[in-house]
Amino acid sequence: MRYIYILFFILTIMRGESDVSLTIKKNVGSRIGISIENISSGLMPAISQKSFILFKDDLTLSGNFETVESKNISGSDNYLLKYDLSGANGANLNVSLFNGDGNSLLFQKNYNISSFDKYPFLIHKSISDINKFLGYDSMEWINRLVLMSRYTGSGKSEIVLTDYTFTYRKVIVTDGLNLFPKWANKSQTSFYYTSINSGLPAIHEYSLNSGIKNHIVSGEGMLVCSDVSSDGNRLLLTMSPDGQPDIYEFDKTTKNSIKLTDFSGIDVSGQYLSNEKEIVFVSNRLGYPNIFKKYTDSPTVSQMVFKGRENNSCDTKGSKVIYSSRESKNIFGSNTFNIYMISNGSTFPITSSGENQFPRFSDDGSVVMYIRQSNGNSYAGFVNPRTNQNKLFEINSRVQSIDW
Amino acid sequence: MKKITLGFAFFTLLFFAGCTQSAPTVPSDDAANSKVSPGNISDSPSVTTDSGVNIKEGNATANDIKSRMSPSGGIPNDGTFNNSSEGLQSVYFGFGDYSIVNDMYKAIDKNANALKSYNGKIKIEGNCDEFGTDEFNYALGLKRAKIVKDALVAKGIPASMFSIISLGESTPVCTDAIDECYAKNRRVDLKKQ
Repeated sequence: MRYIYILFFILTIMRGESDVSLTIKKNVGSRIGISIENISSGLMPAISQKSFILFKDDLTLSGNFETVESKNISGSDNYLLKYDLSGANGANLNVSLFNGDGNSLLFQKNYNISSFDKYPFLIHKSISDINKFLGYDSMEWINRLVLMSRYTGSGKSEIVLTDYTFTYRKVIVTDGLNLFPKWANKSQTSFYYTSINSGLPAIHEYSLNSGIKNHIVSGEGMLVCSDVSSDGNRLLLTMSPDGQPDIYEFDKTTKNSIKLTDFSGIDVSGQYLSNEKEIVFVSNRLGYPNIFKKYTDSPTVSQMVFKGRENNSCDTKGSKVIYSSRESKNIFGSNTFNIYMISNGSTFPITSSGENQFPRFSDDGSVVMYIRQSNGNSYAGFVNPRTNQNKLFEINSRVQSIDW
Repeated sequence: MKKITLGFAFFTLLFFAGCTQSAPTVPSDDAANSKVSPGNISDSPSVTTDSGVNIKEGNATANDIKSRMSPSGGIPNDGTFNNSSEGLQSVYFGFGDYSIVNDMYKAIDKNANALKSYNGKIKIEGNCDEFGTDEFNYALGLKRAKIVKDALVAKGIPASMFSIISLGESTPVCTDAIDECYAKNRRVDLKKQ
């Protein structure tokens, strides 16, 4: 009898703990074993090693495969992936997928890109193609370009174009402070960013194809493009024409803006919800940063999050919301920030430890990217809630902002 | 009684087994499923660096600042710490705060007196420590700049003299990972134009 009560007590404690942290359940048994074989010749050892790691990470993050050594696979239930990466005329990649015994060729494709340093994009594309060929859910998100603003000194930051693993990097915008990059369209051919040099803060649109930047709007105080409508015509801006940060909807064609929030404190980070008639934003109207929402044509504001005392960053995709929440109270030094997702009325954690901020949905909403700060360095974290896969990539830069 | 107890224990086990937290499932939505491509990557402008730089600037010593910090984290206006133009005094703020603490009204008075005989323009720059994130930190810097401007206008300085800007956490004067450094970065600087 006594042991039963003790058991009951222990289980009660265990249940209480499980409610406050994310349980990552690895259902390895349902994943297909796949072996990777690098048959490239003439590659520098560092590139050879890095390419192998990229294949492995892509396959792992799909949630559909478990990479294994070739000696451990056999039969038709497993796969063998062979790749040949070379540097003639840019980067060339040939990928072949065999069944486990290596006898049956299932898939083969060649890929090429104009310069060799872009080879990570070839690897990502080949894995998303193989994933699709085998009938799994789309993982086109690994092909997306990532924009990162990183600090390079006091009063200096630059915007860098990367792949999702931050292996490929190209500096696009330099000189002065270049902040808050935001993709201008789904095809990722141009982006908005805030430029602060000697004059007023200004938002420019930069075309990746032409290298031309166009001035969009300038204003005193602060100016940020937080979100772009699905048709690309309307922007949610944080502006402060009177020194007061509020959210405005800016019509790109007419250049007119409508003030959506009107609060004497801080309203920032406006994000469209699915119908684009509602926005989610960060406000300190309760005395601390928290997540709120409102219709664009109504002054009524409603609180979305009822947990945490510092929820200061958010993103949306469709009707889903992700936000970062500070969960420790150190005035100085490191704090615990976790990422939470709100979906279908439920809120659940995406991360369970560390200093995790800047949550961003993938374009299809299936994966969440975030930045983890640790010992002065930044890491890009990825969580696929459907497959429970997660991965950190080292960035080696101090990140100001990202968009995906 | 024993049977009842055992039954209770059995159902308790069933309850907790059912409550084991499993993988969160995220319903898919139809938004943003358009076909995407990697895009054409412009080869210009040219790459300058991609190695990344950790900010290591600032050479101010931070000895004994902490002992003189007010409970709110502000720094006393003893003239030791300043990043404003000559004759003007930076205003320091508490953690996550944009109100002027008592210690700092001396700095406001000093700035107001100095500006009464000044005919040029002043840029008021709001700054933050590195602990905020994203847009909210820039808004915090803006609110700090705005309240300093409002305090100076209340002292009789014309509003037309000022422009305000937030630099967020981008422009630290000290980058050591110590409390005193963070306090020095939560500031408003006044720069003669």
